[in-house]
Amino acid sequence: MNHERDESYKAKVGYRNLVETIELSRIFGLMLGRNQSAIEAGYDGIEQSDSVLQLPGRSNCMNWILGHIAVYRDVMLMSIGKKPYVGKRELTLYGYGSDPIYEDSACVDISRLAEVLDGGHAILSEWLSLVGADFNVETPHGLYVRKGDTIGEHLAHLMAHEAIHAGELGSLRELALVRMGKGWK
Amino acid sequence: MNQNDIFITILRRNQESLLSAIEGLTHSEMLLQLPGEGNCINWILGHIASYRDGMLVDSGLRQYMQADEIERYAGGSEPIGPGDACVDSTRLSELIVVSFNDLIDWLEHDTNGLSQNPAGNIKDNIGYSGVCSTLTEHFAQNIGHESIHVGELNPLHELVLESRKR
Repeated sequence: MNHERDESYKAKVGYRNLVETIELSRIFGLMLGRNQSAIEAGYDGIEQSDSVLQLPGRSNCMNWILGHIAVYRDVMLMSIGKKPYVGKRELTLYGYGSDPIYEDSACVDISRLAEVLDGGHAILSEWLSLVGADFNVETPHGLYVRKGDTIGEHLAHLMAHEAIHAGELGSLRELALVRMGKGWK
Repeated sequence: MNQNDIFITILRRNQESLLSAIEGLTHSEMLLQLPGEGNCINWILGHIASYRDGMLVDSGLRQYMQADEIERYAGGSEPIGPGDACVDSTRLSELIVVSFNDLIDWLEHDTNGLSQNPAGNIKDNIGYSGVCSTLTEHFAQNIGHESIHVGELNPLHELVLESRKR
């Protein structure tokens, strides 16, 4: 009888864990999708020369922000055992605290950055759609950034980080549209 | 790690960035505009506060904003510039603090809250309720939405700092 109760209890716990995993996958999938939509809406129709335009003050240009998001999205990929898209050069150009990018600075073309972001999004979305994703496993060590002890916590920080940077793209897009003569109140 | 933990983590990051972006700014500085059709800090704060009210209502908690305030900052509402009718930025900053505290407290203590049915008819509540059927989904949409608007504050903060040099 006790054995039966044990089995019943285990089944309930297993079911609850499965439901929770599906919930977490849905939340992360939804947030990743939102971020990617905002990123694509930000760079849609923007040329390389417009991607390096600067707003007043010390904020970064669109090219830097896209590269920065790409570097951190690669961290998400490596966290779940996938291959990164970019290398050391991009890490130097777009890592945390790297120099601002101006018109005459070395940088990656915006079309390449868009490819990297699109590719990373596709791989992460597929992984999140699998039932087997485990968000309680330990975050690997040796990553460029490690934002939490479990993959769930780590991904939550990285998703929020990229969302905030995605939000910065809006005003840079407006600036580019104004320069192109396509927008001004 | 459960859904409450995820939302707490992201809300805390949002709040930290938001408060850092508005720290020390005056109401008139929060009305400054960048080139193009982006919104000023005041509009973004009101918009975020109204979506947080949506989460509070869903959770059966106290709502803070008045109906006319929510309408002023709804999605697609008119931009706000100097001289336009708006809620004072000090009140909006206060709303941002109290709504954050209530949401964090609820997420930390009502660990099964997100699994329960939303209070009232979720379809009528503020935010993405029209396309969501569960509390978890609505929180995910609203908090993800808020993160992106928080990012919009950074270039506006820089604009204010530049304006002070003139």
